[in-house]
Amino acid sequence: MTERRTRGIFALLLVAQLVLITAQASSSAPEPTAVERGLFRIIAPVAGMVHRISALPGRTLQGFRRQRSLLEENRRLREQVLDLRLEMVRLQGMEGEVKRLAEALDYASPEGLGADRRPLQVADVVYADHRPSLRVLILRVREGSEVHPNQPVVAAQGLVGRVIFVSGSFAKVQLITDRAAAVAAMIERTRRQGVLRGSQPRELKLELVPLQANVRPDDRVLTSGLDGVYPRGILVGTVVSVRPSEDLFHLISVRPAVELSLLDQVYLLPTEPIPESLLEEPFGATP
Amino acid sequence: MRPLRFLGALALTVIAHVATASVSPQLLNAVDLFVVLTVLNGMNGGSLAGMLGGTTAGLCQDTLSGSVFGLHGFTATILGYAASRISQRLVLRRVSGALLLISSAVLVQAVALLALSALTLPELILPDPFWLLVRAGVSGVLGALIYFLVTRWRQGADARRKRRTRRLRMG
Repeated sequence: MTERRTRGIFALLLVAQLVLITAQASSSAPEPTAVERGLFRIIAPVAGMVHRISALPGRTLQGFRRQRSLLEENRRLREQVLDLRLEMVRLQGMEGEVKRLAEALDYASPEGLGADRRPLQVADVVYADHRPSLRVLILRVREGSEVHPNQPVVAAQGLVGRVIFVSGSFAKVQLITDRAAAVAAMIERTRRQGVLRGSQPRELKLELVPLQANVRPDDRVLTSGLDGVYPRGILVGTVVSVRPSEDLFHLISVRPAVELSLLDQVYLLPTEPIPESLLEEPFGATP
Repeated sequence: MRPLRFLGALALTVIAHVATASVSPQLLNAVDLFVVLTVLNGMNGGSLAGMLGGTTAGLCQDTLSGSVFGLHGFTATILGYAASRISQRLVLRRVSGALLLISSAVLVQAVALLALSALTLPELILPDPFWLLVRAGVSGVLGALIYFLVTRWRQGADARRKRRTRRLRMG
């Protein structure tokens, strides 16, 4: 092949990839390309297999170490289950009371965590990348699970991220700390709303909270449900610092509730995706 | 045959990358296996093999990352082409050449990714200079080691083939 032709192919490859990059950058909700889906379909099972093999020695060693403490752990867990059962009975009573009050006030309870009675879907984390610019998980979901893009992913402590796309029994998840991620959030104490964006690996920024808003360190930040992706009421993190900025809003740093580098298993929330027709219809359009 | 060899090396790279992430995701800050593969492939073949290998390796890295798809593909295409051209011009045969080329490639990729990220992401976050230097160093050493081992193995295989041919002629 001549040098000129090689240079032509080189330029063509660069232009094609540049077009791909700018097309994704200009779109507000970029769809994964056919190339990415194809490569993910090949690579994700490899990641799952490597994860299984690499976890085996650790689990075996752990099994030997834990043999001694299994009885103690069993006893402790039985006590915990009893406490949780009692707590559940108490909460069920409270829920019933809230429902009765809501009916009396003719108030429709908002859609939120726990409103849907479908069981949470468990998924194993087979690959995690926490480099400063790249924050993503690959999950292996159980057989028979219904997973769809934009499905929220949570851990026991709080919000983890959302599913970007699904291929077979694997799903790619964008973490809330990813720089391109955004979560509609609110301060639990004051219900003041804002937008959480990924920043550093262990830090989020709560934006669009005006200077006159009452925010202080240790305030809990929950999802507000206004982005149509995450249901309302999921714990996202805790305010670490509040500083005034030069413009009209606070500079608020939030520490995520979930230790994202220690994730092993996560849960997928059973939410209904927003219909495409509602997303496409502009506000105020005439029929 | 060469494409198959490259695909085999790519599969090993993906497995090694995922295995490293399984041990500790932070370890991936210390080494960039895809850049090592791209540069070594570029040094071993022509410009076409270098750039196509870079594109493939870069797109695989994009699949495993959360960034815009195509960022690593774009930079790795440039690295693969540049590695092949530089090794042809300078006739790089020494391990030190491989070490220098791979370390420089890691730094060049970081700058290129930063420039592309400035166009595509809302906020620019500069890479940690310390970890960038560590990644350049470790990737360079690893690539130089692989280059040394592969070169030794090839020399051994050539010597064995020559001995066999001599025996056949004399016999």
